[in-house]
Amino acid sequence: MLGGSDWRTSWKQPHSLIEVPGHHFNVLTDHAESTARAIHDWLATAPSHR
Amino acid sequence: MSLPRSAPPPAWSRHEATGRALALLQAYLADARLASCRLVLVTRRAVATHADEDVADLVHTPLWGLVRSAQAEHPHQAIVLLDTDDSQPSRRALAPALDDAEPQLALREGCHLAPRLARLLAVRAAVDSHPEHADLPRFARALAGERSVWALPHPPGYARGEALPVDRDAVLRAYTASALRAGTAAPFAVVGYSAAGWVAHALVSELERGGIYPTALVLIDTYLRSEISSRLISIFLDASLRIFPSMPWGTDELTAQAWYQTLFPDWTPDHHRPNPLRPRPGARTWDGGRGRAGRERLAYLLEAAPQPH
Repeated sequence: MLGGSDWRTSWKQPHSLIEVPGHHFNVLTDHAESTARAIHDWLATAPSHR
Repeated sequence: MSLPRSAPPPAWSRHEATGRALALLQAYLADARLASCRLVLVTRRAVATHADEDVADLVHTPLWGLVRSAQAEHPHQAIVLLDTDDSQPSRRALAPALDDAEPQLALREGCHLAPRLARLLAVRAAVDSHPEHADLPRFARALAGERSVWALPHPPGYARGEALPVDRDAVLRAYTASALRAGTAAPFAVVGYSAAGWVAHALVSELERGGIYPTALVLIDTYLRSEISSRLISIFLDASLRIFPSMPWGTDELTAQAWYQTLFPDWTPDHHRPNPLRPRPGARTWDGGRGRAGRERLAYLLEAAPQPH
């Protein structure tokens, strides 16, 4: 059995990563609000992304 | 630096204007002697500060996206974007306006205006075509009053009886037209979830080729093509059917899913600038929001999923 952290995307390309609650299938349903807030906050943090 | 007024000579195109600004930015960033200097780029009505305002200088509109990208990549450099209506009050307000800490601002009749928060243009995933699994309304509701979320149309080919796109270019043409209709003069970021992230990334690249620069690209749990084996696809489809048992998956949706896999055979986000944001769900923090049945389904996923190659 795989651990909870094993089944994830694994990019090596440059990017900014934020961890949000949920799994692939509920990140935009049950966890739509926390996902939206996380994206909003990240965009708001960098002035040129706002 | 004050950029040339509008009514440019015929040879002066948006691409040339953007290229000139890019050269200026690169020279500024490369010269260590200028590290303590502020670079202020001034345009004249190259952006709209509200929905009803006309953009008089379309030649320099793309420059705003370009410079925003530079600001994102070099947050410690003092690069300021200022757009003015060139009215007498705004001319008087110009020097004091530069005392603001705002990296982007506009002057209209002497008033300082900061840009509104970037809209999110969302490339929709297949699952939100069904009302009971409509993710975007919930996503948008969470940001109500703070940031608007615009849904671009569904990928062509997912609707019942709808023809599949001939190739990747056909998909991009459709999405580019949708993005332009949604409006790209005001700041916006592009969002894609799961495989829709491939389309979102391609859309941003296409827009940038046309001189339109989104402020950011957000890819929500988008897998690299190299991570997706046929076995993982099978598991995803199986999991989709288990987690969304009421989803009316039909041959149209399943065919479209398979077709889109072939349209992006080598997708990798290695050309985008600035670097994309990748919200990644931490499966361990899953709270069982779907109840016991959901918890069991998650266990199924974790047990059955192979290690990504």
